[in-house]
Amino acid sequence: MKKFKFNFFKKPQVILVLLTLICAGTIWLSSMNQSVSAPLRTVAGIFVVPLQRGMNQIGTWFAEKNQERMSLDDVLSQKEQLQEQVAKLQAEQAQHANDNDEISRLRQLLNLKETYNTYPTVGATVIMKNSGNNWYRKFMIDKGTNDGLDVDMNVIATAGLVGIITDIGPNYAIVTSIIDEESKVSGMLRKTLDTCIVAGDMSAIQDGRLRLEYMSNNFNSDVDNTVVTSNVSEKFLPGIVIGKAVDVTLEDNKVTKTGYLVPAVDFEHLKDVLVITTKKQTLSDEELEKIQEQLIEPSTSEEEITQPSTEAAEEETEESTEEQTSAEESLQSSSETSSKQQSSQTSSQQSNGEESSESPVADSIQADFQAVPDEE
Amino acid sequence: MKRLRQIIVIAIVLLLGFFIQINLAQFIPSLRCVPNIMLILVFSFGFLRGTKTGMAVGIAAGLLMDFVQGNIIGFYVLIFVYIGFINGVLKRYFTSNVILLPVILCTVNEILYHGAMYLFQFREQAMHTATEYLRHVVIPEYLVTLIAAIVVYGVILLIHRKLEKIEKKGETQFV
Repeated sequence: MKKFKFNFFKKPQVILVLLTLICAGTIWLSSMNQSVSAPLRTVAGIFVVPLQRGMNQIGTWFAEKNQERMSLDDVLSQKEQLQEQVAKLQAEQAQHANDNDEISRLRQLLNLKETYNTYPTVGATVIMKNSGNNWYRKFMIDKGTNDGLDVDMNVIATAGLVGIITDIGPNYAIVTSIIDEESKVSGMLRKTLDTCIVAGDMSAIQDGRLRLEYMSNNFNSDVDNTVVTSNVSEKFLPGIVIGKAVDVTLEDNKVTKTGYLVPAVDFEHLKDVLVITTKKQTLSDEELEKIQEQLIEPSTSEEEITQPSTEAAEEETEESTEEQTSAEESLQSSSETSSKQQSSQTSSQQSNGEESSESPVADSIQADFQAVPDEE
Repeated sequence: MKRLRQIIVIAIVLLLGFFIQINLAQFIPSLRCVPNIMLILVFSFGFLRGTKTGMAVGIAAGLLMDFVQGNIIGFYVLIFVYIGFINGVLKRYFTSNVILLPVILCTVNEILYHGAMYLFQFREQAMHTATEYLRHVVIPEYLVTLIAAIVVYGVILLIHRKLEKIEKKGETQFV
């Protein structure tokens, strides 16, 4: 009887059934709660991550050598071509000098405050670019819970959004990049705040692009086609640059729009990334409001708020200055202020308006202010 | 002792294959997709050494892949265990000397693997994008894996024969 039992559990079919049950159990448990698989992560982190770190260094060394060799060949072949181009460009440059004034003016308009610079970040190195599976676009970084990272933290490179941490161990983290098929990021145009969903797409990524979905009806990328993360997103912090919207067209049915997005980050040559240690979920409402204000009035720099106060301080007492500045701030941030306040402040606004008319947003607000007393 | 030697050899081969798979794209930048070396290892060991070895290798390979992919533990283990088992069963019906064998095995297992991946992904628009997956994921991977399979299967066949030789030698010594 005993022997029969022993043999029974040695049969491959029985082992298979048992393993299936065990796997089903672990799949169910780990999908419910990530902490279940923590021991495996720790063990694997100890054995695999250091090895992979070494492999990665060898890999980068190879890649660099390869790049050097290729670039040398390129340089030699392109040298003659470039000399011709120089002559051509010199001629063109003379023409372009005329446009320079206009360009510098437009640049000032576009010199927006990049809000994500204010988020606290931790630097990390990519130690595994490819997860060995062609279905996913995930990569591994060399920092984990030991460095204060956590699941759902946003990952950026200097140029813009890279992805989000989906899995973490003590000394590593797995980042799902925004070009992954399953990735969906809620975005909006930086200037007009038209919303859309940025989705990874298998065929579009062959051209280095992502797909835009659920675009709002008046999605207009003519003014400024920079797409940033939206403030309605569940996991992504607002105001991080994703990329530029291109090829936005109305479909034949005149209802839906299609479009693509060129990501700001070069995913092919990703090496160092920054992990934002602030999570959207834990962000308080006040902090969020602050960020949103910065977003909605991206170019109303601090000068505008501080300038009037310093000027006024010369003439008036400190108490009245504080009142005035606070009133002005409320005026600039909200467009639904009462007409009384407006009329009382119009004179000071107009005097300051000429100096601080740097952004179109500020321009439009001032235009409102000037229009109201005329009607009255 | 014999068993220990076998385990160590297989573990080394498995780890080597794993690191090659996840780093190959870095060494060959022009490669669009990577060969599925873990799959080749699982079906080769399963086919050459039987269901039990196949399943054991499947567990190890699956755990490694699960670790790298994150989130869910057990998904790849399940797929690879079944692939190891099925190839162990196939052993009874084929001989291992055919040169076409790695090609046939690779084809069968790629279909099994990607079929399972496709079915269990729970992707929203999976039904609409089946042809896209086929074009951008399955076929490129299949072609690269096919080339890798011929090489890797050859190496594993050599290892298998060496192990068998040592095992037989040990047996005759003891008897």
